[in-house]
Amino acid sequence: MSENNNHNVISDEQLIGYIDGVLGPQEHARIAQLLEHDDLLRQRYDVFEAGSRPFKEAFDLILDQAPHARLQAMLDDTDVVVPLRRRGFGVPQMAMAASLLLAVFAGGLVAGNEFELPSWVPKSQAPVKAKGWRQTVAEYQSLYTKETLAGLWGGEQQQVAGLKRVSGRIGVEFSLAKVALAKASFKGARILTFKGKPLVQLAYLQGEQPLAFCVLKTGQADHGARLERRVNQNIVHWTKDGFSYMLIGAVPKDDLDQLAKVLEQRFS
Amino acid sequence: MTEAQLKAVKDGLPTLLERLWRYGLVLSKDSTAAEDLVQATCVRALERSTQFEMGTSLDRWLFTILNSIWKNDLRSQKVRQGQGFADPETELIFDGVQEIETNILATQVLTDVQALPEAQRETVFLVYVEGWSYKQAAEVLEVPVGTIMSRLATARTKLGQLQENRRQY
Repeated sequence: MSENNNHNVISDEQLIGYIDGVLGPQEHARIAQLLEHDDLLRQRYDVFEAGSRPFKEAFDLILDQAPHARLQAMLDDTDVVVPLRRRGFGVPQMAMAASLLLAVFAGGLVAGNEFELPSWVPKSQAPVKAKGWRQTVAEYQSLYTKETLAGLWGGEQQQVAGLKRVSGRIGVEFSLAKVALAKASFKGARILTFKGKPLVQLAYLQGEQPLAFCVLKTGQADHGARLERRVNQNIVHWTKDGFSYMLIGAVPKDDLDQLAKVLEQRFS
Repeated sequence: MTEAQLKAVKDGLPTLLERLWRYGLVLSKDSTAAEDLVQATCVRALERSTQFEMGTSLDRWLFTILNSIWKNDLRSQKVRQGQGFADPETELIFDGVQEIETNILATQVLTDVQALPEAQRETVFLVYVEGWSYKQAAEVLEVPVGTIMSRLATARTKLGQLQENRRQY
């Protein structure tokens, strides 16, 4: 439990801005710090983070469905109407309305969100930051249930073949023995793509909960196991020899850490 | 000056038709209505090309027009045609568009977003799919920036709940 009540000071909008990576560096660091110590704020953060999804990836698939030829033909058929005269503030009354608006903006006569951004929002109005690989994996993984994945898992022969395939693609060796865990059952391996690079996904089931062990060649500096939380799931991740590993699942962090320790030893 | 603006709009439109159609689909949930929206947008954009400021973003200008046509003209028509209320769990997510069978997860994301009320749906789409800033999305939708942020908060809460419900069954 936290001693201070700082969670009251951080608004929903600020938390959203934090998650979307649009706050200025100072504000971002401040909230990151608060999140480490304030359980209530953390809970509010988790609620919003749970709503993260691979939105762009899913909706980009829709573009392929567009009736391109029909739309183009329709555009070609549209008669171009050349405007006979300019529209705009040519009329005196309109001109007055325009200058009144200008006065309102410049003089700050109207307060509140209507015309003024909160002071902590950076003026540059940055677009939502690009997602890292662990966030992307977490968004997809959050959608999995045991049932969702049942069709994708295979018997031992398929598992062995799958492991061989992913080993070849990423340059890390996987075998049934190397991926076997006492407290979660291995279900299958496959290759996904992240920003053009192969990402290995090993699927496990712990009771009713799907877990995933993912590997990506990131070229980042080595570091030992770190714990984080994204989209309502716990993650343990580490980097060794330019390969980054992450174990993720909606299971208690101690359980996850136990499994991660075993894998970290085997993949190092 | 008039000619340059018209040319900019004419040259840019063909490259943006699919994105405009996709946005029309998100708003109307109907591929025929989406095509109508794109057509109406093209007509209005060409008619009003003198209002387009050279050097500004053509895509956002067009999206603003499409949004306005939907809100002010076509949406009420569609309601009158009897689209009415539908149970988001059972209605087709996009009437007339082939379901993406091969990607279960994408279908889930699309279903969840399309089940959101229009205000949240359009906001999630413009910020997280089109990738615009809160301010840019606010301009397209003609609402205050604060409204964008609170809609995102509400949408995220709802989307999180939907997944939590799935896990429990």
